[in-house]
Amino acid sequence: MDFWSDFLYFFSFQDTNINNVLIGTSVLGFTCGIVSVLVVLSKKALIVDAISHAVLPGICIGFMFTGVKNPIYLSIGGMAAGAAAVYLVDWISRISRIKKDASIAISLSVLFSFGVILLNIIQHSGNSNQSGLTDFLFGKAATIIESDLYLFLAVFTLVIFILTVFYQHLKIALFDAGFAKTIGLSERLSQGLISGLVIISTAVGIQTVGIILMSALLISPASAALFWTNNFKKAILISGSFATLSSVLGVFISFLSADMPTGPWIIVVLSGFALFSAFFSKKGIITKKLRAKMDDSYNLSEKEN
Amino acid sequence: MIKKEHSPILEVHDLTVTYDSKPALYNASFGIPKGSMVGLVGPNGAGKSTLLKALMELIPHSNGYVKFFNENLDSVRKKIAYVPQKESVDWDFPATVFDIVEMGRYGNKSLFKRLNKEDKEIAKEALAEVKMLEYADRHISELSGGQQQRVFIARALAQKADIYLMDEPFAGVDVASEKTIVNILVQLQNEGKTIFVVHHNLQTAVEYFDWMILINKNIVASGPTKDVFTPELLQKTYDGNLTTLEQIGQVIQNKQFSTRKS
Repeated sequence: MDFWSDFLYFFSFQDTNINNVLIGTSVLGFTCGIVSVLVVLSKKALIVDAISHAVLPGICIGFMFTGVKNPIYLSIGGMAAGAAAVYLVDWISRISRIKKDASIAISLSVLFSFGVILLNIIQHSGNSNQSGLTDFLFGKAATIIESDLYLFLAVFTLVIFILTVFYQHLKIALFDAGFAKTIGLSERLSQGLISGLVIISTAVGIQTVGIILMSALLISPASAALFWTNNFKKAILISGSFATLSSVLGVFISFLSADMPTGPWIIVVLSGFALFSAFFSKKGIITKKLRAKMDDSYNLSEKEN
Repeated sequence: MIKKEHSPILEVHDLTVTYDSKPALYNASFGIPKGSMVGLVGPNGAGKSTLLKALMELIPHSNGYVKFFNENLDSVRKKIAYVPQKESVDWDFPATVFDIVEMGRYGNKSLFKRLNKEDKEIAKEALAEVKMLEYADRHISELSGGQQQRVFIARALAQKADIYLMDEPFAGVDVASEKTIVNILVQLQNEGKTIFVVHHNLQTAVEYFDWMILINKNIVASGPTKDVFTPELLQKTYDGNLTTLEQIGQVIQNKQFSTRKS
């Protein structure tokens, strides 16, 4: 098949399997894109990485308890582990002289190692259900089926709901945490909401891009979006759109060639958007340089006259 | 020298703040009268911002208490506006000038209610007072230091408070902005509001404030400026810092003592 017939087949939405993957990754993409804005503006990019790596032992424990690969049980395990990671990072930096960045790195590696060990134990346990658990490392978008979509849609709805209800609270707290506290907004609530949203979206988001690449899906969309707008609401929408578009393109590219992985392609496309934004958006590096040059030559010609 | 205030609008008693068991503020006790313009003055690292943050419970204190209107902060939050140092926030945040000023209105209502017309009007007035109305739709990253400070002041004005606590509002601010801000402070005082400002410039401190608190880890003096701004007390506050002492000498020689009101 040539490219165009592939293209037509893919975007005519006649293949249910492809549609499931497409809808699943898009919904997850949009969810993560939204949460991404909170992550970047609250400068929590590092901790996101710790959370996503911590999800692995959570998923393993979830599987060990239930013995089945039900995405709901696994996600619950993942969420619990994500919450434990947030707590661990906090706890280490509170009780010791270890600074936050170091305690994030420590938690990340310890929890991930623990997860890999559990994964090995499971693989040798003789439970035939376990095959495919390693897919969580790099994502398994291609295996998304209809029943997964309900979980994704539920998480999407929850994220939108929380964001709508606490929109102002989060906006004020993200801009000026001190001021937010003085007008009586609970810092614990805003921090908890952000961590909670990250944990929820991570626990399900790893289905598409996997644990290792998850942080990119929660950092790059907003990094790209913030180059294009000065409006909080628009930043959220643009960020969600970047992530969705990357998901669609990632799925399409991996559809074109049988050996192409979906998750990594989603991240590559997303990073492409982020780089493009960094260079060529209104606030981009090259745009700024060009404008400065034009201003300079304008000023020079002014002086000469 | 700590002048006792009989019915202070802000009363601080034995306030102690420690960072990692190192005291940053030691047994601070003072009271300030309603309607005064207070300058909190002291050398770098004297605990000026620490005191202000402890008053607003942004950092915990290990000892002592703070009373506004003879009550705890939680029951009178709406009457108190706090202006943090402008460096404490990220000015690349995706918001316009008006977005920020609007935030001043949220303390007065439940967060789930939207701002009404009156709130928007109040925010607009506040912006007009700091002479930034034409910047309302600008992104906050496009502002100069002085303009950023004025936006912060406008947000505080939108809170319609009775006490204003400001952390270094004149630091890194251009002359025009400083003038605008001073005029606003004077106007607030004329409306009977109480203003409490962290300030580092001794030259202007005498001019701006009618009540002064000298601080260097502990409270050296608190009282009317004319009683507090003496060579002995300043020397005690800035112990051994020659350049500052020279500055003080100059101020005193220049007899800039005529207070703003006279």
